[in-house]
Amino acid sequence: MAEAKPASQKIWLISNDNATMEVDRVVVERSMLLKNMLEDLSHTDITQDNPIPIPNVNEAVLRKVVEWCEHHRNDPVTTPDDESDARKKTTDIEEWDQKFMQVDQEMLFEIILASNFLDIKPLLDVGCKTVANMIKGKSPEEIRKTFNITNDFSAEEEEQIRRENEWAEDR
Amino acid sequence: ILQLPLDVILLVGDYLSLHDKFFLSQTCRAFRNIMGQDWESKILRISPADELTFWAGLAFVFVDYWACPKCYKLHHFIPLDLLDESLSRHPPLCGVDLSRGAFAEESYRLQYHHIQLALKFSRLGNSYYSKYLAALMKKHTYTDASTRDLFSKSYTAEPRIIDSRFFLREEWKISNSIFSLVDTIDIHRFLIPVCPHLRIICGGVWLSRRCKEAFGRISKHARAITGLEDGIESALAHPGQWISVSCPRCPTDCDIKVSKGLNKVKVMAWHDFGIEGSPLDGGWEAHVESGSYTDWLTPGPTLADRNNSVRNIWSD
Repeated sequence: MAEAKPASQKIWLISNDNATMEVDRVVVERSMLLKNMLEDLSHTDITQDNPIPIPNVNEAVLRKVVEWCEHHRNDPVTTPDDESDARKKTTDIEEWDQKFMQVDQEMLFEIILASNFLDIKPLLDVGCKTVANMIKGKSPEEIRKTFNITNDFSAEEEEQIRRENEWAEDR
Repeated sequence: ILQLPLDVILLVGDYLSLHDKFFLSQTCRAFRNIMGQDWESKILRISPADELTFWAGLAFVFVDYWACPKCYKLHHFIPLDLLDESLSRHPPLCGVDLSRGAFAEESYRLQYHHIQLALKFSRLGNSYYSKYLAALMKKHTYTDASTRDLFSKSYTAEPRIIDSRFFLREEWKISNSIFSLVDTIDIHRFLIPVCPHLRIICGGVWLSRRCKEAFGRISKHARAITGLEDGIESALAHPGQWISVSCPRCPTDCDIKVSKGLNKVKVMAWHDFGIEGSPLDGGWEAHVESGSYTDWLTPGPTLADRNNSVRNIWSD
């Protein structure tokens, strides 16, 4: 049987560059991965000297992820059904999250990767929406410029694309 | 972006429309493999509404094109289309009527594609299109030059883009140089087509109200929209005061004033045609007369209390 959780229980996390941070358990539990892990552990297993290692996530990214989880600590946990409803193509992002995501692209992708790894679905969604909004309404050239993508098409593929556009313009 | 795992890229794709996937698939091989598809077959399998959204999305990027809501395809814009002052004489080459409907002021038949092109060229700020844009945004004035009677009418239309939305202000001035309008208000010239819902039908305020009410009695669920008739009657009862009316069906606000001498009436209307996008977004369609020509009667969707929001945005 699972032990009762103290209301303000602290959990320690350690980033892949060895930064330890103390976080409320309720905040850590925004991550489904860590929530499931904690349920299998005794609350005394995790200490400052024995923190949970978070591989692939450095201190700067982990601090951002924890900041997001802190802000959303009281949000209701979404069920898979809610998620599929919420995913009905709306790319509206609440104001705080929009500001939170105003980071350079490298950090944005790191946050997405971390939320994917830690299984924090709402944060992953905010990240994906942010990327989608950066793509919307842009021409291929503008998208390439935005994400520094190299045009690696062969002459034959370029010709295919030209025909595709011709079909769209003059069908 | 390609450092993201495939399942995350597919998640991003969930938030993209078909037209965005179309352009993303043209950026590099990796995205072509993930997002590319046979677009021609694809649009045959989607709903007409989604197809129109697809064409409108392409038109947002293809500078010289606009999405025709009747033909379901892109049309090239014609630079000569506006060298004449009258918009009404220049339907698109496909020949379909993309105006607000037959009710609208005859001398200024604003068309859907003109709004879309104005919004796009304004967004792009490209000097190549500035002459065309200037022609689209020109203030239009028409005066009824007839001198057969003492009645005169002038009409002004002034388009404006505010916060990437297309607004139009219209103004009608009707006067009788000798008689009070109270005596002459029911003659055929007193037609003020503010919008498909707020408009004087049958020639004259009194007759218009009676016609609408009669139709309203026939139809069980419909309600006659008589805001304009009410506004004009109220303005006649309170000369010198502005009377405000908002359309319950489309984003249109209207102000009416009758002169103290009761021989002049001025009606001003402000319309918000919305942002650049698909004609199905509602911004345009709400302003268009439906096939039944009884928009002033049909119940239809109503807008929440807007507190003259359209006029206020224009004034600010």
